[in-house]
Amino acid sequence: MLIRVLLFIFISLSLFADEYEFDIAEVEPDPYEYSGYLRVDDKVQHLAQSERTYQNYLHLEALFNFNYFYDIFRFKTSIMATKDSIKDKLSESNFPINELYVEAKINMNHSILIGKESLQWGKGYFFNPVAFFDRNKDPLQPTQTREGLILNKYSYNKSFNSNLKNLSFDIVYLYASEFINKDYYNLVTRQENSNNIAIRLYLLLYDTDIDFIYNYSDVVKDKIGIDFSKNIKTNFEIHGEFAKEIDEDYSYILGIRYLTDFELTIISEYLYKSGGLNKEEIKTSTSILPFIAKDYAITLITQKEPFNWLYFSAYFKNMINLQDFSQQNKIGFGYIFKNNIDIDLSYNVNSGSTFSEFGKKQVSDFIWLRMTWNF
Amino acid sequence: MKILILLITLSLALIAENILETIDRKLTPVSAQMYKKLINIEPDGSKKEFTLFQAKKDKDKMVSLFLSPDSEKGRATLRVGDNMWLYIPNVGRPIRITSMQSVVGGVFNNSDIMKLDFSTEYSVEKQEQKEDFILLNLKAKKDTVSYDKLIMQVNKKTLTPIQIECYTSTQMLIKTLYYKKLTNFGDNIIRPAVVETMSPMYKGYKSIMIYGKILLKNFPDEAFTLDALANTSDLRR
Repeated sequence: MLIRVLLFIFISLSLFADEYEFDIAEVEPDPYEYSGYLRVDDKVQHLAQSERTYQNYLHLEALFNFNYFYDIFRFKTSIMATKDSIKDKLSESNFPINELYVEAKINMNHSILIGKESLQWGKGYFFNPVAFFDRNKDPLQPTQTREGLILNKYSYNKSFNSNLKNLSFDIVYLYASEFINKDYYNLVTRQENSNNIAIRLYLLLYDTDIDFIYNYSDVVKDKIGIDFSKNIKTNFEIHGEFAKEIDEDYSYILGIRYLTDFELTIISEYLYKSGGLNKEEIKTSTSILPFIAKDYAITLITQKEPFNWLYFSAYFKNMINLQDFSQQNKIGFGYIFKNNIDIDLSYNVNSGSTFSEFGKKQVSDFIWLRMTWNF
Repeated sequence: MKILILLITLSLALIAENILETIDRKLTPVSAQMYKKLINIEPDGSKKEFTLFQAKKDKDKMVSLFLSPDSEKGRATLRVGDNMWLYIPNVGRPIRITSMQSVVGGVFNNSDIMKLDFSTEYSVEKQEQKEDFILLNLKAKKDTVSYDKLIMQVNKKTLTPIQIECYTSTQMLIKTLYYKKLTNFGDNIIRPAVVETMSPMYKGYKSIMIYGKILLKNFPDEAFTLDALANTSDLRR
């Protein structure tokens, strides 16, 4: 009888439990954290050579991030596995270690990091000319996770109660050889062993983010960089980057981010590279590298939750080569489900004259479905 | 006589500003850490929950970190005065965002989640003693503030808000916030633990913010910087 009464009381209490319940035990911090995702990208591609030729491009991707905290130390690793396949044409797997480092926070002002890190310098959304110690961003997928480089970094960070609200300072040392930072060795330092140092000074001055960067190398010419970002209104941000190799070429971007009161976000950037190709050079170029022209404009327009459809967004993206006026247009939508799965479906079209950058792409148009499960 | 009127007006203005600062201190200490839960409830009754860690210091510094759901885990937002940045793990350096932007979808926007002290952003235009509450008409000090005007009902006894109506500069009602469930969080922090939000722009939708824990904690200024944003999780330890 007593058990029945207790059971009744328990059930009653459960039924009338406070709808505002918050179990604080569930948020107590652990000494470790993990996160990641499993992702499938499927592209149904229409080939330019024939009206009726299609191929299916499948990309599988898994990412696992792990952080462990001990006293002043943070151990971080981010590992990835990918598989790309096109029936009878391509089957390729990769297992990059994106990040693997130990960071010691000596106090709130000083910290030291040793290992592989993705620094991700710069303020641009699609391009980052000042990211001297990073792999190139892919403007087609600017939010894609990127593999870092092996480096040593000392950082200083200090806040003030003045128009200069914050100052931070990084010194980064990167050694490149056939065995360490091989991509940097191949692409930047002309396959010569090299010692490279970058110094970055960041200021939050008059509510403007400003970075000054100097990159020294004992093999290639030094580089300088500057970038900025500022909200000129609460819903209107402007940013820019300028990078120059001493006595050589320079590049810069200028960009905006604008939000309307009905949650339409416009991100637009202009990129100029003094060493890029002009219209005639693009025609004869056999380079397989993307974005080889002198200048581009990229615009992404996203409407969040149109018609008040919660967790839904629709977008349009335009990338235009301003030398030959070829372009890629993309229209799509995204939806975030309540079970940590999100999908993105888009239709993409390359267009332009026969020998233009986007016009001579093997794929004329494609439907792209991306599905991600986050954990 | 003119001087006397001027003095009385000035005194009344000072008292009015003081009440706003008192409300601020009743709601959150000057420097503290908090755990919050956001719940979006759709017209069909289905829910989506978000858990947040927040650290604040002084009148204008705040940082938030999403702890759940997994699709948002690790997202961090930093506010220093009018400056606001968003960090998304795996994506890159923090980017500047606007206070009106919605971080997680639903009725709450950045400025609701990253709200600074009322006295930092608003001044009291009018104060009235009603039978059951004090009525305050608040006006934004700058046009950079998300809501141009607030009409706040304040509990006479506890000096905490009961209800706040948020208006644009064109007098359009954007949302109404209801403060509920007065709770003792310790350290003399007694405040409503629940803020319910409804908006005529999202008919049938409701968002609830629940305060789970508020602790007095003094953070260094450097905890509220761009370089520290990716490591906001360190502040919990």
